Amino acid sequence: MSWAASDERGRGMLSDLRVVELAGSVSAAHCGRLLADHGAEVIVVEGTQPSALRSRGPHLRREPGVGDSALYATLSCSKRGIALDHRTPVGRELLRRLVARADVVVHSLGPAEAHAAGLSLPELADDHQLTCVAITHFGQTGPYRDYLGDDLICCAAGNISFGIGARTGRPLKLPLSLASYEAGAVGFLAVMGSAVGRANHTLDGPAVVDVSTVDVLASLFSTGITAYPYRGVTGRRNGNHGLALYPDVFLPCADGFVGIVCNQLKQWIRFLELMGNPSWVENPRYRDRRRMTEEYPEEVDALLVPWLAERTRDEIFDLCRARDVPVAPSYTIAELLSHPHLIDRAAFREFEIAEGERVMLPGWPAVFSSIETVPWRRCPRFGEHTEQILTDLLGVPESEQELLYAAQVVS
Amino acid sequence: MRTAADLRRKEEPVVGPLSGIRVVDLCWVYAGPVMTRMLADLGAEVIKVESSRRPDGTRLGRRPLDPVLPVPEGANVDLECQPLNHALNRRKRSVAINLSAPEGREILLDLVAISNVVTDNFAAGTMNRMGLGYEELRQANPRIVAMSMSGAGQFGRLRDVPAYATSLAALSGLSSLVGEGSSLYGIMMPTYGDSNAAIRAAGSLLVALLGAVRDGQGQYIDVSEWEAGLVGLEEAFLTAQLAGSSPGPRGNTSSYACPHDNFRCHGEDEWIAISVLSDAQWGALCEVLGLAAAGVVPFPTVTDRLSHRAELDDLVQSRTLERDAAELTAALQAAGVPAFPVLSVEGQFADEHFLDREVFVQTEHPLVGAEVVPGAPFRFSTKHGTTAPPMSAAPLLGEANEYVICELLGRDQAELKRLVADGVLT
Repeated sequence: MSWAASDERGRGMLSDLRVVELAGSVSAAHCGRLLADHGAEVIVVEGTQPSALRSRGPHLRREPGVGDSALYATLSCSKRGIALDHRTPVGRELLRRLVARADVVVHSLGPAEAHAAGLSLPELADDHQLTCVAITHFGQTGPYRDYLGDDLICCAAGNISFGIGARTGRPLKLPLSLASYEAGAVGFLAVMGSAVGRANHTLDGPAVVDVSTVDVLASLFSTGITAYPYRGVTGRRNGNHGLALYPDVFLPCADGFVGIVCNQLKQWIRFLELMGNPSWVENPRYRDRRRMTEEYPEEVDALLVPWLAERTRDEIFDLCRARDVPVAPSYTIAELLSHPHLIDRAAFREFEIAEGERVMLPGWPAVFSSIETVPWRRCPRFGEHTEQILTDLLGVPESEQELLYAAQVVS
Repeated sequence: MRTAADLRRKEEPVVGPLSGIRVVDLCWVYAGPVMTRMLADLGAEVIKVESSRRPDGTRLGRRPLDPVLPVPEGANVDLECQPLNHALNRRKRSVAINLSAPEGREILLDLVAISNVVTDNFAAGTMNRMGLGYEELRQANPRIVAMSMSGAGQFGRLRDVPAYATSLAALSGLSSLVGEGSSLYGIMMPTYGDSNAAIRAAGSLLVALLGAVRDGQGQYIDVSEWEAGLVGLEEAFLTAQLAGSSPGPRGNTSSYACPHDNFRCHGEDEWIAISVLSDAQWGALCEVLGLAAAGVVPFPTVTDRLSHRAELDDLVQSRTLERDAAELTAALQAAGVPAFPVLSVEGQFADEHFLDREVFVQTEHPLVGAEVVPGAPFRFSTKHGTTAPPMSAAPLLGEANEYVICELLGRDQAELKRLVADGVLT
């Protein structure tokens, strides 16, 4: 690729993979980012109006502004960008030519739109070794394939919200865009599976992968499925308590919160020893750990809180670690950035998110013996590489390019 | 008398992009088995290495199911009737090897020599202590891709921190974001940290496997479930640094959509999720809920709505209370408004989407009969049709002993019998 100097791109395990990402969703953007992290050449096709994600908070300046999204800058780093309206006939043809040069397409179009964009299976050339991943809310088939959604809707359908929140209160979604991130990561592993299959000659010709955020949540994160058929409805909200035997609880202490979980009775006994074996331990009411979780967890919490309130998170963590009791401090986001263990592991990497502005972001969550991710590069400005891609990749002559700009097929 | 091996479903041609890839899977409990389950969904042959001497915790505990079919000879009913174990290990095989016996370790290394991947999710350092560290594995097979998953990784000062869902959520900062108003709940479903780590680990493993298949490059991968939990919080790390303070819980609120919440509907604990992403959707919502008095839409712009969030939520809530969540969902989606009922698992079982799309799949378990387990989180199709490998029920402990010892390792029946008699296969 003439426009991507090799020294700039670094290598990476996926350096010979070209990915076309149709912009619009956090899930597709995250999937594309994970591919770019390993050196794939990712081209984002954005349409002739800036993606709405470019305005999504958090923002780079300390007040909201259009096109100033730090989230977008992070999701789209290390990618190239073309502004191309693939919903016009000419744009559709240009997209088809771009896709013909690609190994992977990632998009979030529903079945009708995917078909219109030439991305459904029958329209792909028989000998094209292309993997086309659609990450949508409800998937490409089924009764809700044309339904509208977002993370809130997916957490509702995926049996996630039902389990988060106060016992009789409002169900809560996963925080942030976590549901979309999970679906994007599943899209990534499906792409990687197909890459292995192509290298191993066990996958031949075009493949379409249908990833539904709802299905990702329901099959991987919902816990009810294994218990429901024989125990009835499970996984109901339980406030700051889990559904395991007591204690599976999140409680305040002197300087924040701690999570306490004792799957084994001996762990709970050791925790009580740390508390100096208070007299209430003898009460049979505080010996049935199932009833303690299901029927009167707050009453038991109240017995623990005074002891916790006299100690900091670190004191409790150290005491419990020494006795092999699984208790963990709840860290704030800022605290994690300087956590000694995470520094030991170089868990965060620096990213120049904008000219002169550097942030630390979570790096790849695994350490390989001999594979490295490639350095992050600034995300493309709107339409930044339109001309380069038209010229170098699609071979569109300059005179035709002018017509495309004039007709607002590209921008 | 049928034996466990007889019960293994009739061999069908294996399909899927990872067909031909063999995984020696030492994972147990939750996160690891979820990860290798996805590899099986991609067509890999996953051989779970376990032992009755120290069974996978998900095989243990009070038996929730009872056999409805004849119990095969040699099967231990108390280790075979846990639905969670079945859900986590469907589409896998099982070989029972006593790895404390020197001969057991040798068999494992022989299996590694003819496999592509070795996975474990023991506490940090365990594989080295068992004489199965990457050096030993690499000697058996220089192209092997070995992955260890643990709570905090193989090195670093807190490497011995165990991975429990509750502690992972606290350590990763996720707990600090779960709640509403001044209430912090910290805990969510018991599996978030495990499944998230499984997804991140599987992706990492496949990056390395590509190197092994394409370039013959072996690899060791150290996965920290704690760090896996940081990736999806990218947005919070940006906020903490750019706005100068750690974000806290935000309930269901959004900075760009309003209304954006779960609203109570008719019936006990019935709710509908409604997300209004544009002014046009708001107009349509007002129409369906009868909120546009004389055609005038209140709070017409998103700025209006975000600054009157509480008032607006009350208004919408007052109109959803007597509505049926499913019926209102259909009306709103038809009008172009994102909405869906907040489903319990019971609601999911009653909803055609989940069976239609094989999110839930029925298996025939050799002891307990028909049983529903989770399907694959993706659907692969090619011009030759779907590439999903055949679904099979979770294996009985050691049901593939004969397959591994005789078919894969080429030893004879007499040797198989001796290994069982000597307590090597157990």
